[in-house]
Amino acid sequence: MKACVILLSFLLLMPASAEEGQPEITAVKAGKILTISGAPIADGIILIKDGKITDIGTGIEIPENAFVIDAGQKIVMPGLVDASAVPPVRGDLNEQSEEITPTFRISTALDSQSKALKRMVQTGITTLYVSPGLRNVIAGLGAVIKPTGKTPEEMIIKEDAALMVVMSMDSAYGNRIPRSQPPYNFYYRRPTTRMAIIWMLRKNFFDTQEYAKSNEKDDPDLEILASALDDKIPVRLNVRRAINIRTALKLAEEYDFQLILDECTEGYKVAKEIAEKKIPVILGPFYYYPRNLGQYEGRDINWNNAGILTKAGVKVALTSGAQTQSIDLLTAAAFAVRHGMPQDEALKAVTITPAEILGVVDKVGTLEKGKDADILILSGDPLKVTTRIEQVILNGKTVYKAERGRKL
Amino acid sequence: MKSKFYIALIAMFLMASIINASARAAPVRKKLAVKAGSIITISGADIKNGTILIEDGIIKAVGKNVEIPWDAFVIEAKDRVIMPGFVLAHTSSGLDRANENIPEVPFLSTFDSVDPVSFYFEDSLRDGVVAILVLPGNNTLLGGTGTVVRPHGLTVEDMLIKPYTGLKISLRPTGNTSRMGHMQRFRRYMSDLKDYLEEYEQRKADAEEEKKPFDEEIDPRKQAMVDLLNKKLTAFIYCDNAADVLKAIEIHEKHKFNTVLVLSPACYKAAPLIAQKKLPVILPSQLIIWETNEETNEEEMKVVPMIFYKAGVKFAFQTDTSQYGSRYLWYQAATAVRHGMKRTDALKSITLYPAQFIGVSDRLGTIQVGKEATFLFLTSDPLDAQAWVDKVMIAGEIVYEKEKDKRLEKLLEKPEEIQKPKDTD
Amino acid sequence: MKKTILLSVLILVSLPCYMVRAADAPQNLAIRAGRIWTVTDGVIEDGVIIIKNGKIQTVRKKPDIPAEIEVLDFSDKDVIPGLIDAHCHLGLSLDIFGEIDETVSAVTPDMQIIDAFSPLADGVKRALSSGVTTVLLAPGNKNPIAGQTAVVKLYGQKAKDRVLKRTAGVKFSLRDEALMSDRRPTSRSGLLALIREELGNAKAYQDDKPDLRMKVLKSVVDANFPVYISAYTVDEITSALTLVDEYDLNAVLVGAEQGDEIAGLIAERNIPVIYSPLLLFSRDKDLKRVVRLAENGVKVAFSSSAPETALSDLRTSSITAVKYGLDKETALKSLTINAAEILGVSKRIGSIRRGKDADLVILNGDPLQPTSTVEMVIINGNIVYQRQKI
Repeated sequence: MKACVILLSFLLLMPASAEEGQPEITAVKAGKILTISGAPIADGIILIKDGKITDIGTGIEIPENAFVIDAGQKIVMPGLVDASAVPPVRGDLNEQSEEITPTFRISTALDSQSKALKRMVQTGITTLYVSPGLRNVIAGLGAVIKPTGKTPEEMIIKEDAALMVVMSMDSAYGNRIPRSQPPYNFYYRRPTTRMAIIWMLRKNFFDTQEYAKSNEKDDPDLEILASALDDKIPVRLNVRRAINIRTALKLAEEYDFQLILDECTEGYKVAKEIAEKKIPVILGPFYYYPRNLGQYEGRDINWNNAGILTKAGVKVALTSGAQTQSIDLLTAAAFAVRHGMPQDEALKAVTITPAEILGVVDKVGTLEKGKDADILILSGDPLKVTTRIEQVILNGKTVYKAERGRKL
Repeated sequence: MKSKFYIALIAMFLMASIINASARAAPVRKKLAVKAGSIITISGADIKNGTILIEDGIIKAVGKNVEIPWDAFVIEAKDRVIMPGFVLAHTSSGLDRANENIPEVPFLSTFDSVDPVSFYFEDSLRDGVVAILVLPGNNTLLGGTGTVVRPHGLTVEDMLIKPYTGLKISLRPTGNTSRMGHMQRFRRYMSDLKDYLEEYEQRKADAEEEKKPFDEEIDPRKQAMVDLLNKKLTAFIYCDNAADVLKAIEIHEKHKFNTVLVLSPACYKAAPLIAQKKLPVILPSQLIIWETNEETNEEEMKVVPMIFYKAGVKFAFQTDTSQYGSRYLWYQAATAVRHGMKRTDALKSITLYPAQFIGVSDRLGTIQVGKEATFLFLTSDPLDAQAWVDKVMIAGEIVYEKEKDKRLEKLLEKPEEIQKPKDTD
Repeated sequence: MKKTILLSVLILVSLPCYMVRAADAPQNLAIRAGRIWTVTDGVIEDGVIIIKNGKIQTVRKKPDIPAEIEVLDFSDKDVIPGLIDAHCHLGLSLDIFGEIDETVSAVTPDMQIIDAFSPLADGVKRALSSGVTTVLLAPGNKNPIAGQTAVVKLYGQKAKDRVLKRTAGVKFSLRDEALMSDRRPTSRSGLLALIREELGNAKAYQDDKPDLRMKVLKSVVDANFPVYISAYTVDEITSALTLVDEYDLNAVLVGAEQGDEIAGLIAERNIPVIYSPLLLFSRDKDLKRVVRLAENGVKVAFSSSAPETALSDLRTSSITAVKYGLDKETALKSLTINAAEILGVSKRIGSIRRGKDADLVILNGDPLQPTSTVEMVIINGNIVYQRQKI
């Protein structure tokens, strides 16, 4: 009897074992660590505490009670940053009742239950940009999020990361020209030609400049636009054709705002100019064949768009694009290399470069001391399509582990 | 005087053109030796720094220390990986239209519809495919017979490898029919066919008995189905979902066809049953699907080739023209390897196995003595996303060279500088 | 002669009035019952409820019953408080599937649903026969800011007997149905932006111009006038919580189907939930959610959302919840006192207690057994339904 009591109290007094995935310090050991910020580290160690990397290098002492993830001879790299991914939101990506909606924040429609998030994590994406749709000329504000958490607050790491402006014909699709009746709903007010789109942009930028000069502070739309023209929020312009890219470059100079080119299908034609102006490019989805998107959009393609831009000196980010079947970002990089992009540039294009363009490079994009512990453990070279993502660590916690021999 | 000059001039001209002509004609050499950095034979182990001897388009020898005849034309490929050309066991591309409007048209043949100048064939050759079974589409019950072609040639006859191969049966209901109606239609057709054959045999027997000549032929519209019943043709049965697989097996067992199943992604659920019946399978081009688990509401990734591989089913891959990888057979194989398939089995699924399914494995699918000298010169390992098809050899003749591929060049090279526009406002 | 005729005529004319008033005169009644489920004070076996002037005077085991009072003997039956349907669109227009949304304008806080209620509608009688005595009437989910809810009893000749709260709060909807293709908002972000705009305007409203809409919304942001927010999925609920925090709203969540995923966040803000009818779910996983929500400290009341499900099936929600693990006491509370407290009418209804209205339901068995049927329903001491013996 006494023995039972002693044993029981002993068991009760024993400290509860650490919850799986919630240790004090985690150490990741791997045969090769691709930091992206510098040279690869052979037989390296990463120490993680409170979701951040506290130390990284060779010959680092691992604390006694650390939880060790031994990746053997596998390759470790930073979690991928997708500058244009399937948005984990519900509902329409555009507020269609107006054509100029700078205050539209897609982050308010974030859905933590979205199936896209789980797929993203399993394909190695640990940071992504969520964008409003492309149906409005000035579409609204996007945010940078991580695929974790139950509420939008837990997901967002950068609110108002960019103002989406659409110069491609998406903002003109489906808009009808009234024939005999007066325009009775808002679809009729919207632009149907490129002229109209550019005119709307110019008008709004002009109004913003006037507004900024005056002392008014009460128009929320113009407030956002004024911030953009004041370089406080970058302007992400969606363009496909070379002539639109040129117009974008011109507008950026005229109104003096920080420009990011989005999609940029014909960027290869204007590579030198883009490089000269030091404008970063977030490439859209890759297509083998030309498509007909109306008004000559999508008809000229070059498989080596990424390579040509990179070789001209442009900062290029590769994306999975807002597709229903999310394309593996690493596969996108592998194919970019196949078509002519240098290997190290391709790896940067899915890690540090998008992090820089999105303005979150202080937190993600490389494996460095002080940054978020977003780590991928791969079965081999990241640019080989036979490589599998074995484990994904986000903010220091393992959020995905590929199972071997699991019943399918 | 002048005439001599002109004669000399004409003679020179003629000589030059003859020389030019002979240079441009690119003669098919009788004997060839290919010295390769790596040879993937598929039938056996890979050979490093080996040689392939070819005579009259057939492989005479393969090995490490092969003696090269003095009169053989040597092709140096020390920095290349040589492997058998890819075989695509099922497609409906390259036709003007894949499906006829009437559901029962087994007498039609894709031979009459293959379009030699279609981009599809140009791309196929560029991507390393050397044999394609072109069959009717998935929207006709009895679509017609197929043709095995190589994606090279200006006419269908030039392209032809093997005519009258495979009969396409699709279990997808067409028009406004339900699955019930669709299956019943098939049963009725087969029942009518069997009645017809019985009567035909009866008439034949009667004529024999009466010692009368019998020269009635089988109705040409029914000939293909008769050949199917006699196992002279193989049935390629398309299934939209797992329930269709059950019906396909029923058809296979009842009529004793030689059967190959052509599957959609949802059919993975029938993998164990297919393994049990030992039926060969042609996988869909979409290899990874995401399904919501009913109970947990969680998304689960299903890797279709792995489900069949683990069940023990023999399969071949298909391709499509969507983004990135699924356009290439090697990418489909690489995806399977990524998720656990053995490399050698994956490579067989894009060479030997499809060749077996379509009945051309006597000459294609491996690099072995006696087979056709039809193989690819790759810039690196086939499962490496960086490997390009540098050359394609078909029956001893180089029919594709990446260096000379103008279209590909245009798609990869930097264009001319666009003239800067004048300043406007 | 003339006087007599005049007097008789007067009496004859006024007689019906007396008759009418007598019919609705506050009732005095005593009910002897096998089990009295008081909800707040436990179960009394073999007890008596004495009703005076339509209110509960006594609830006890062996009280002294005044001689002149009629005694109803249900000594083998169960008595529970009248059931409360915490959210429905019952009786709105004579057609039960009638107008519950004014969709032309997205923001209509000034509309009062009580104006559309018809006590003569078909569903009312059916509802009574299942034991539902009080309901919260609400507009539908097609407007982001839809209108004002009301709490009504399903019986009462005079409005003052019937209407417990003419305006109980403002209905907000964060559902996809509030998005339209031909008027603002068309997107979820647009929906939230619209609500923020309106609430912001309400805060700034100075009462200088007569604006009924602003007056109502001002009471929401400044005077804790309750808001009933329709939010089912996790992202809708988190959006609702964000609004609650931002504008310090006195909120109730309507639906909250996936609320169990973030139960902690709901509980720590003391936000009660009017849960969707469990008849709408078929998966075990979904049916367990409300149990988990309640276990995490959230106050839950059930609703029928009629006509989505029939009012007569209200009790099914509790019965099903018990099957999936909810304790019986909480299950019964969710049909009675919880709803009363959430709707702000717990002084009058929700439990069998001295001083409360005599709204009672007599069943021939345990109220949480599906086999139990309603024998009699009493509202304000009046017998409003009695099951016909076959």
